[in-house]
Amino acid sequence: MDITTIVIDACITIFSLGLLIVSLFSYRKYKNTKLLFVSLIFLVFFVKGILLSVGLFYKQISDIILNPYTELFDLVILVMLFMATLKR
Amino acid sequence: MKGAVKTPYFLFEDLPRSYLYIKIQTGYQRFKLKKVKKMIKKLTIIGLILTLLLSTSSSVTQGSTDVTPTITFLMDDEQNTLTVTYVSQPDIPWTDIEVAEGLPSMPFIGNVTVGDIIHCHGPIILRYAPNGEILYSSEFTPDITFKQNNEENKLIVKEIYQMNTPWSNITSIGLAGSYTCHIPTFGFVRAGDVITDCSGVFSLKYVPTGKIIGTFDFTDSGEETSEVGYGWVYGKVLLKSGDTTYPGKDVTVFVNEINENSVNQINEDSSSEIQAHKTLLQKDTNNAIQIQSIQSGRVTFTNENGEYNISNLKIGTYYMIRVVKNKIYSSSEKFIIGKENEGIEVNLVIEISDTRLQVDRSIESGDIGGEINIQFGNNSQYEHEITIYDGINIRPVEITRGKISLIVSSNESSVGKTIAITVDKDMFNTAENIVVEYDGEAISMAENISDVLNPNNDGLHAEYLFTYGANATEILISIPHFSEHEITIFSLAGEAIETLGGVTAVLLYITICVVAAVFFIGAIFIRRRL
Amino acid sequence: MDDILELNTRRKIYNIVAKNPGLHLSRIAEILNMRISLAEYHLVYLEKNQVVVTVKEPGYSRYYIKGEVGTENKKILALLRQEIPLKIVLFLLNNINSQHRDILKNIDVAPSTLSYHLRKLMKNGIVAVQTYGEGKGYSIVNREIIVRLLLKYKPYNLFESFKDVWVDLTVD
Repeated sequence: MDITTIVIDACITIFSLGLLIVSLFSYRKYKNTKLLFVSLIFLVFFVKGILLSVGLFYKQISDIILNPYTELFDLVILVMLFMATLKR
Repeated sequence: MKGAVKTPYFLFEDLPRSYLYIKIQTGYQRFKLKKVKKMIKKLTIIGLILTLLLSTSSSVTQGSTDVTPTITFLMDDEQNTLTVTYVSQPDIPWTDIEVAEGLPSMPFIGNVTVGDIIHCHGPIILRYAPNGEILYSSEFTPDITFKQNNEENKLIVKEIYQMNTPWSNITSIGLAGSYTCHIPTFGFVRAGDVITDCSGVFSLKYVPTGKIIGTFDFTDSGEETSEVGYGWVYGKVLLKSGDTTYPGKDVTVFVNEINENSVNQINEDSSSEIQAHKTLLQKDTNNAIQIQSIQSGRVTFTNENGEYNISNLKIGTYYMIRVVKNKIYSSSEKFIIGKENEGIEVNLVIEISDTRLQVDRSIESGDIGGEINIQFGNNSQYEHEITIYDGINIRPVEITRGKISLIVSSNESSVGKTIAITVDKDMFNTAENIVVEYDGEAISMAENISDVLNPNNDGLHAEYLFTYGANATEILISIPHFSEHEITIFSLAGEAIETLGGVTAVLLYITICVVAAVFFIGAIFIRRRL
Repeated sequence: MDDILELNTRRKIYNIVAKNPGLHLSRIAEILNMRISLAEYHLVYLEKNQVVVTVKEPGYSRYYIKGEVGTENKKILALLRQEIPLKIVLFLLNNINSQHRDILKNIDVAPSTLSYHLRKLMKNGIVAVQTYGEGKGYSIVNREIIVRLLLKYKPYNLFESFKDVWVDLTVD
């Protein structure tokens, strides 16, 4: 754990949370299903950000949850992005 | 439009500009410009998301270090095996070791550990994969003899048997103080080649094998000696605290002779003196002294001219002694060079703290019933040694960084005794809150060392005392009464906080979060105003 | 139609014509996915306010943006970004010489609030008042400039902007 990792993980968490909020409000306003998928995407980003941040301080979290499943998070995000693309 | 000259679309004034025109075989294909733009926009968004994903993934992966670890191998010609005798770091995976030449059968799972064996036939070169540096090469060191010319400060190659040795494989290393020498950079080593501009004391090293070819002294002694001599080593182990020096105890010294390819254990002496032991040190031979000690201390090699500090003492450490010249040198590579034809008197002086001195005295007087010495060993585990002085048995239950758990019991009587726990100085951080529990309940700190060495002056209360030394931490615990008891020492900060210093890291994280949030919201506000 | 919604539609038309000068009516309607008559209604309004010019050709008319947009007046823009002044201005654009009570019927604020905003608008030269007989009639001072400003400078909407990023992400 060094300063760079702390900065990056903190920024990931905050930016994904901010974008999650923006996308949720946009969905509420425009009722576009694409935006719902986008909200889910940022939710997953946010969850990942939280786990990364906690993993900075608790190695057990890092080893048990994050490291084996990092790629799974990415896959989920990509699948939802793809579904957003397919939606009208 | 067949056969029309190819011109950029915007010159076709009568064609609507909202289209992009691309010339294909039979004519111009019309693409809606807007659709092209939309496509580019889509691709950019997807590209940005992929970049974000990749960067978050890479922040989790951990790459291997590029600093070459020190790994020593010993070759056994008869068995055709290469044994790992030392690893500088515990976390080097075997997959990071690659074969540059040869067909060995190597372990490929787990980390490189002392005792691991590689089976090989023929020449073998091993490399550290992350940066390609050579770790071991079984190639032979070329046999080169030099003639030293002190008047002209030159070294002239007298003879060499291997004709394909390039000069670029030869480098120099200093031994004591500054030196100069100019080694040719091109071509192969041939008889008559000259190394010019020599001064000071230095050795020439053959890089692929790391072996020393020769050591030369160009200082003003005026003597022309280029040959390495013979000698022998003997000595004693002494313990020194402040000005007091007294014979060491419980220090085992081994003297091993390491030739090019083998380790022969010559002498195993379990007292504090390597008395009357002489070992013939061959030319270019590295002789290792393995020092095993219960206490951590600083090892000093001395001779009648002065002291040379080497390093901290650790269980299983090898120290190298070389016989080269008339003088004794020490270098940062832990070499000592001894007297030619006279041998080296090596007194291993282990410096200890005052606390240790007191503890030793208490041991002698019987106040300390038992001791456990815990060190982080060479094979990346905590090792311990238990000594029963006066009927107190110590059995470790758990030893990890930041936590020690022991069971103490008495074989003989139930009278109170004090036990001593000596640990590496990194085991407990002085800044952390340390708790000592006696049968599950926290106990209080003793007033001073005399207090803790007297188990009977506090009624039935156990007490503890920490003393932090330069090399080790001494923990004394006075136990008032014996049946079996469990002692646990742990730091509250414990496993949760990592190296950055727990609280600092948390505060930093929170600060960055706040800054990022402010930036995010601020940017939106500013954009609204524009 | 809600004034602001109307304004938004007109903004869209303006932007399309600005980016693609020379579009004709049916194309504009097609792009915006609205009835031709509605598009025409807005284009007529814009033409009347000197924002858009029509070039008539055999069969159809092409639309172009007229002249320069004009210098922006930050103060006016700032005012027009606020909800109440915006509503007042939009109402007055369609209803010249309105009286206080007429405006009050269409905008849901207290009378004193309305007076306050009207005073501000007058102070900034957006609205002028004409007394006739017993009443006072409020009108927009320079229609063309105000219409342009309204069309050209739309306040930033975070959520709309966010939606626009994703709305184009499609395989169609």
